[in-house]
Amino acid sequence: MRSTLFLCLGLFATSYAVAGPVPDYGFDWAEIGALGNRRPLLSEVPGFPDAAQYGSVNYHYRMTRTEVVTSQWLEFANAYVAHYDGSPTAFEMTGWWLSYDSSIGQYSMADGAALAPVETTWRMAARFTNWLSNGKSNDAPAFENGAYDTSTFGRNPDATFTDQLEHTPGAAFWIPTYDEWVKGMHYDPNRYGQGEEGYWRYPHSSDSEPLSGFPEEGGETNAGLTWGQDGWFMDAGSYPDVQSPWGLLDGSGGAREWTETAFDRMYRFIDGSEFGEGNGFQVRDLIEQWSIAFPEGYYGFRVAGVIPAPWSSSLAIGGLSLLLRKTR
Amino acid sequence: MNKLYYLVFLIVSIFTECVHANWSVTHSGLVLFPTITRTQVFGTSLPGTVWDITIDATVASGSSFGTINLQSTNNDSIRYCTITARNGSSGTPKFIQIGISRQSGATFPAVESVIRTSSSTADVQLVLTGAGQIGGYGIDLFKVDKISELSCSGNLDATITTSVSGGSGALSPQIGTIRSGGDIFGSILCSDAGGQILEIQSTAGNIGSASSTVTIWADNNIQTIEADGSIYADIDVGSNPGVSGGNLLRVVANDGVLDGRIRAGKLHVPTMSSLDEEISCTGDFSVDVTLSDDIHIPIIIGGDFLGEIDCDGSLTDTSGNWDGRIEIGGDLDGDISLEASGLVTHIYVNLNDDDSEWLGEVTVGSTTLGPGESGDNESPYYGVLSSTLGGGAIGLVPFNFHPKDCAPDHGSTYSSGAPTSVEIHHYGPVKDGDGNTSSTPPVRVYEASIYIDSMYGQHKNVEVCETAVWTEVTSGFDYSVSGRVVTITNDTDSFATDSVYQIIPADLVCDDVTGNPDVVYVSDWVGTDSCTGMNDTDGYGFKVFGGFGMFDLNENFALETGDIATWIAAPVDLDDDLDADALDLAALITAVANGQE
Repeated sequence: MRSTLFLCLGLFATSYAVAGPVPDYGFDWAEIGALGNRRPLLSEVPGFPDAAQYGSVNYHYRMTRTEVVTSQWLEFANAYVAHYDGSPTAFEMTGWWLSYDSSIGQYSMADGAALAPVETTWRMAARFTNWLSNGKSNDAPAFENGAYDTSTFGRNPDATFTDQLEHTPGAAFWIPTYDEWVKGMHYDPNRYGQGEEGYWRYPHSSDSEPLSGFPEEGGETNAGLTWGQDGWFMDAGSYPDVQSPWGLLDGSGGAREWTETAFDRMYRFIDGSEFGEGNGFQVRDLIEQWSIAFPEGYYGFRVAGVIPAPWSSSLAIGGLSLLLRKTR
Repeated sequence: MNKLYYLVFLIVSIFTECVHANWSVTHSGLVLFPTITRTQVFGTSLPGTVWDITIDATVASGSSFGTINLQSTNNDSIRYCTITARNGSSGTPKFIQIGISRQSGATFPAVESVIRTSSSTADVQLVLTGAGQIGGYGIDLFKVDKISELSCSGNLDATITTSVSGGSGALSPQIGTIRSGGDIFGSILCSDAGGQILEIQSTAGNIGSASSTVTIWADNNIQTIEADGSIYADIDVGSNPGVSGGNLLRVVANDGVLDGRIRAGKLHVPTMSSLDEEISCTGDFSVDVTLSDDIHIPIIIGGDFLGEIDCDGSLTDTSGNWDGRIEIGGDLDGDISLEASGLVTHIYVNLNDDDSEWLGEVTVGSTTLGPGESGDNESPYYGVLSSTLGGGAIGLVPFNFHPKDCAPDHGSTYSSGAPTSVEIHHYGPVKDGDGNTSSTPPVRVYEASIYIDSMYGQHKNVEVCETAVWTEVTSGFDYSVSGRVVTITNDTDSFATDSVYQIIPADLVCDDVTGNPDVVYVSDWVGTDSCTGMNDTDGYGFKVFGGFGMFDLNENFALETGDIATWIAAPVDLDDDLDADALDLAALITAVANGQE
């Protein structure tokens, strides 16, 4: 009996996993394990001991391999616009790549922009994860709860925000916490050799800064390109072989990214560099460097989520537990 | 010996860190540790505990950059922060990122100045976040090679510039993100060669004020300037703004006015981009715009246009996702000029549908349209062909038809048999109100015999409800609506010779206008005039001659003196030289005398 209980409890403790299907929604996911990994050593965040606080996560989770892109955002924007109480042309709805047709009340996407990382406010990114958590329902409540209760979104007279700080337990999708983001980008269970965990300084499994340049020229990031001169954006996933230890792409370049974690009641953590910053980008890519931003700022984001529990595993667990009970 | 060295190093490090009790200092990539001195300052107006801080740091030989982070640990402001950055070994240009912020739970009320010294041999990139206020206490100067990020929860009032002598050239001049939770004042300058400004945003306030305009200047491109409220700014892009190149993508006043100046090369949209690049404001637009090139993005004005646009290029959408257009909710009470054939898209006025007016001049090449002009150049219902202007139009809501873009021209005589289709061109986009041109046609078509009883005078003076003259033939034709054009095509009925047609809008509304107001025709054909139960509108009309043709001016199927009297009363061009003059009268007299055309 005890062994059955321990077996079941052990399984539930190892992941944010829910029984039943959790859709993939067409996202390309990377699963992050190594439960209970350590935080960075001071030597891995040289000179910045504060950065040693982040990166430990004690559960399985998954993250989208790239930032949310415009084609994914388009579906959300068209579903949400009927409930949106601001101007449909507001940047937090359109980003750079959507345009609104008032005659039909829908957005369309610029040609060629399908894989452009979207930029939006933290609160709108939160609504996106609500919508995913609610099965992409078009009903108004689906956007206002699930991961984050948007009725908490607001400001105190002293300008501090009242927003819910962490995603609601049980949500299937959310904005990655800063720990999750750091772990997904920098932590490697085999950093110093097989089974010897550690952290890379850069998000492409290296302690050397990523090489800036176009992919066809051997580049590893578009962050060091010059915006305007070298183009205006680049598709997410343009460097498919430049990966974090967990297979995440575009940790450098693309868009700077929101995380869920609040620095305080004024700011949330953001991290990563963005397309076209020019030289100097590499500092943002360092594990020990982060920044903070008001919720009203415009940044990219990726989605974190539970790992769906496979039905076959559930049956095996049930069968095993029965077997153990019978043998006693 | 090594142990002694490390002991000394440890003691010095601890000592160094202790004297910075109010400022947590972390760093990497530098030679040993930076020399950081801070001096508490008294007697200033800055809030909290006030410090002057100097930093002298050298990038380590094996690094291309170093980083220093200063964090307020208590309630600390900075009056002066002066940085000397050193390249260390000669050769590869290097830079130091200076991060200034606060620890969670601490406050960083204000910072007045951060400057890289001219004696520096390395560049400085600044990231400053978490401050309450930036500038505003009289010093107000931030001067480093690259501003990666500058944000505060309160007001920002300072000169921010990347023009600083010395350094290493490791960093290209760029201002990344400037974000304020309050108002933004001062100057934001990235005017060195290649300089770019990516984002300036006031999330809960204004940029500038009616009495204090912000100066913003980038040599190359400006990506976005956005205020929650209004923007009062002089915005320059280019080495010689308004003359040289330089792209400006987006300026948005989310709830207020746009006031000041814009000088750039192009108002431009990237190659693959959305239509969200725009210049827009919900209130009045009082900006003098000077451009050496095209307008590729929308200019959306909720209130009145009170400024001026002097564009050496075109208002155009001819490539990719370009969407150059000007849409004004209120009055057009300023001047707009474009190059010859430069009106490719449109300028709309009175989109609020509140009786706003076209009061200024629009000049396309050498053609000026406006209320002070005459003939075909007189607004709002000018007669200059769209093809002459570049294909576009200037439309006052509710949109009228364009008398000379139509085919046939309004009031004209069609003498090449009978047309199989008719096109009514409007000054703005139109659409069928219910989207079903079969059940509720967009227009009503009325037909009359070319013969009209003299008691009525001319057809154009007879309202369509006068059944003694007009017969409605709407159901006999097919209709389609696309863009600015309504097309009427023969179906069970046909346009006929020796007939006159008058057409009025029925289920036809202005497209792309909030509320889709009804289209209303304004012309010299009376339309519905005193007809009861019909919307008040004038008509679009034309004649189809098959008989005596053009000399039978009184339309009685005879060439006689009455035609001469008709010409004298209302001279018309009979010899097709675009003038109604004595030559036309002479031709008419000859025709009447000879009893032939």
